[in-house]
Amino acid sequence: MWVNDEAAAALGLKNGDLVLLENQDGVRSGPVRVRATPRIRKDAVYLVHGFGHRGSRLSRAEGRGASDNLLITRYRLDPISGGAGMRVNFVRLIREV
Amino acid sequence: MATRTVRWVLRYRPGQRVVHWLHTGAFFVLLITGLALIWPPLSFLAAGGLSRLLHRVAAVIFLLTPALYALLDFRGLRDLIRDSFTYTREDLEWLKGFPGYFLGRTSHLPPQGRVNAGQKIHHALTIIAYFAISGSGLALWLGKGSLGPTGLLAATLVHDLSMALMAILTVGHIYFTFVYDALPAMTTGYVSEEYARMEHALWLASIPQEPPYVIEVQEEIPEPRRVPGARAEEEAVG
Amino acid sequence: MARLAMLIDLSRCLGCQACVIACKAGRELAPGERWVEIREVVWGRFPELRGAFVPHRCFHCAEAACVQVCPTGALYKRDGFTLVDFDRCSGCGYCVEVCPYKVPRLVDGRVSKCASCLDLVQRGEEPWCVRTCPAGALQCGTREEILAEARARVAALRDRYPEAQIYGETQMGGLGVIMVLPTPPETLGLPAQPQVPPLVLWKGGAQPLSLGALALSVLTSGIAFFIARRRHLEEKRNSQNHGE
Repeated sequence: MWVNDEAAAALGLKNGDLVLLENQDGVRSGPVRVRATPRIRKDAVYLVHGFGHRGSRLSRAEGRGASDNLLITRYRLDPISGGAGMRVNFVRLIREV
Repeated sequence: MATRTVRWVLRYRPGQRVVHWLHTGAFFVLLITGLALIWPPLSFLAAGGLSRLLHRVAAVIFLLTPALYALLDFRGLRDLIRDSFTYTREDLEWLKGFPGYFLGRTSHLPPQGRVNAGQKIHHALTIIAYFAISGSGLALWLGKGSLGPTGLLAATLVHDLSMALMAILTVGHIYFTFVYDALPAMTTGYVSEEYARMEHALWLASIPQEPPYVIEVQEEIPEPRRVPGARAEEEAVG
Repeated sequence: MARLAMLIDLSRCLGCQACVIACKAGRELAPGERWVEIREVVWGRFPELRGAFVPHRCFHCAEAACVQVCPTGALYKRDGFTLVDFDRCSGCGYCVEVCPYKVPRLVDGRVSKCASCLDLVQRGEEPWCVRTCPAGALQCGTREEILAEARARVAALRDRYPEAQIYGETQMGGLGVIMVLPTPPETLGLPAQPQVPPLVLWKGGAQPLSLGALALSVLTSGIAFFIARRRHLEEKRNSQNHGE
């Protein structure tokens, strides 16, 4: 998960640390590793899509990483096109110990 | 046919002989598979990694030879190392007479101990080359990815030059073995008393003159042979 | 054939990896083996970010270190490219150590690197990567054509990229892959002037010296043997007659 490096330092996080994400509705993700980088803005984090599977038969993928899908509990609709904006959820970072 | 009593002197114990031939076998496999990388007529061995595999198998044997020596005949290993690095004034005298020794004469040399000065130098250089070639060889084998161009150049130079040293020492070793009929020392373990007297008189005098150090064997008296360029007549020995 | 070269224009590369896949498929590489890699290089801080996609692949150096060091001659130069005779490769891995760009890998006990699609070019076709690139970043032709094209592209890039330059004209005696860089090489992880140590010390120095010394010792011993043997036997006979 990309976190702005200055924001990460302020949170006491460094590259490779494991964190959980909890959104505004209390949904928690699986653990995911921090990538502290100057390439992202300070008020956003970026998750690679396609992880955090829960299927028990996905022997290699089950429980690995965090699912962006499950954290999207709210969305906004564009009033003209009807397109869905999904990046309107906010998360807390919880250090995984 | 008449016989005579000939005395044979124990020179190398079984453990020493085993180690010698194991080392020899490994060395020649290493030499040939190594030459495959620098001598074009042998480069066909390298294709597909055949020489690489054989080189590594033989290398493990080569590397373990001193440990095996310590296990089989620790006294032999200890004597080898001690004698090879202990030099006296007699050794210097002997070395001055080396050209004559190279061309088949020993009578002008001072009496020698168990190993003569030439052998000491051969052993010492072999031991030093052993460490150089093993170290550089292990670097080339296991250091993949961490050597870099300079490390690779250094390792191959050390490896190449120690190989050349050991190979030339081996040529000399084989040469002297056959000039002086020393092969039985490493096959049967024994040398003739005559050889011991001519080559290592001090050593002969220092060992017990009884079995198993000195044994007596009945031998047929050989017919006198004509040797080209020698005197025409000889008195029969006996 | 004339001396050939390839052009890679980093200002156009999208990082789509199509060249990577086309090469794997066209040359039927082993699973996990690839001859072209695309590395993403980024610097700066959001929102002032700069970057490029930099190819990591054989640059076909004119004075290739791998060719200098290869013990079996499996690596060799032809028509401006560094070719590979995979059957000759001994798997020693010296090329891996010595390449200043760290390009060659060992796969299945043999060297793995772009061997150039010279066979296709000689038939009038384009290399797999060149024919696949959707952005027009790759070209193949004679070295003169490629250098002229590179200079033209650099000139056209200058207003957007004031530091645009050619890479590969002089490095390692001249690279067979000429690159158009939007920014200086150091910013993209490319060494400005890669150096290799004098490998000729081994190939041209220690090797012939060792072989020559060995041959000389064999010859000398061979000749001396007959003299020495005779003299030794003589001495033995004399001591037998005068001794015991």
